[in-house]
Amino acid sequence: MWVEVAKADDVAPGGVKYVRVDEQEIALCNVSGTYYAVGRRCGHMNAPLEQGPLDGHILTCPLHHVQFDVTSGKALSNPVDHDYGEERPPEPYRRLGKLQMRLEWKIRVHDLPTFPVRVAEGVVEVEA
Amino acid sequence: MSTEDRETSLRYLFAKVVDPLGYKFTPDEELVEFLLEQEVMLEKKFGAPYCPCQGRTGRRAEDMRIVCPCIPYHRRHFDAMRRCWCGLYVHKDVDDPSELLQIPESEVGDVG
Repeated sequence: MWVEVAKADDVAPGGVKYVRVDEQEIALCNVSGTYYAVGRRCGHMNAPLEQGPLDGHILTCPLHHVQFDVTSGKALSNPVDHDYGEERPPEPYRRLGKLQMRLEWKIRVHDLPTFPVRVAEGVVEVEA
Repeated sequence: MSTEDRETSLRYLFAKVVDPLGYKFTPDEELVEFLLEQEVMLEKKFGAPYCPCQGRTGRRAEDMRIVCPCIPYHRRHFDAMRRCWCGLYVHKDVDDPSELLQIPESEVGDVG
């Protein structure tokens, strides 16, 4: 079923908008004027992807920087550790951080679901 | 996630970084594919697409200086060679990368 989710000029090229269709959370991406719809939740740890940068067709998760191809939903990279630089966090946060990092790396990164999109008469519709 | 997909995305992202620096991917397509494949493997193993031709020290601050494209950290050296150390990037005016020599950084002062 096609559902209207936005006006065609709601999302500028390079932009991402969170839309919801029933229970589906969708990130609507404008790649140089062409719309793509992928699952809004990161395939790693469910972070909201519309808050990450969209560079061409590559969407980067704001939490651990996993990258996805919004044209196919495919995961392109693994998560990246937080960089504390020279400043090491104090104990016990350091131990907690190490434990958290070990757990995060054991979490598999899944591809994103994709949804068909069409634009007609200035309206963006998603089939969900 | 497939190596080919990641190679494609790195190629897309890196091209945008090196272009304003005056560099481009080498016209030797076979070399580009080989080096990007190595970088994808390094990224999967160590978390970042390190230069496949330079050794990591284990000290993060130093290792970040050889994450591809590492041109800004080796500007004088690479400009003297008109290519990066591994040859993935060459100056925009280079058509035949086989003419370019690899020069150790310690000898760059002797060039030009």
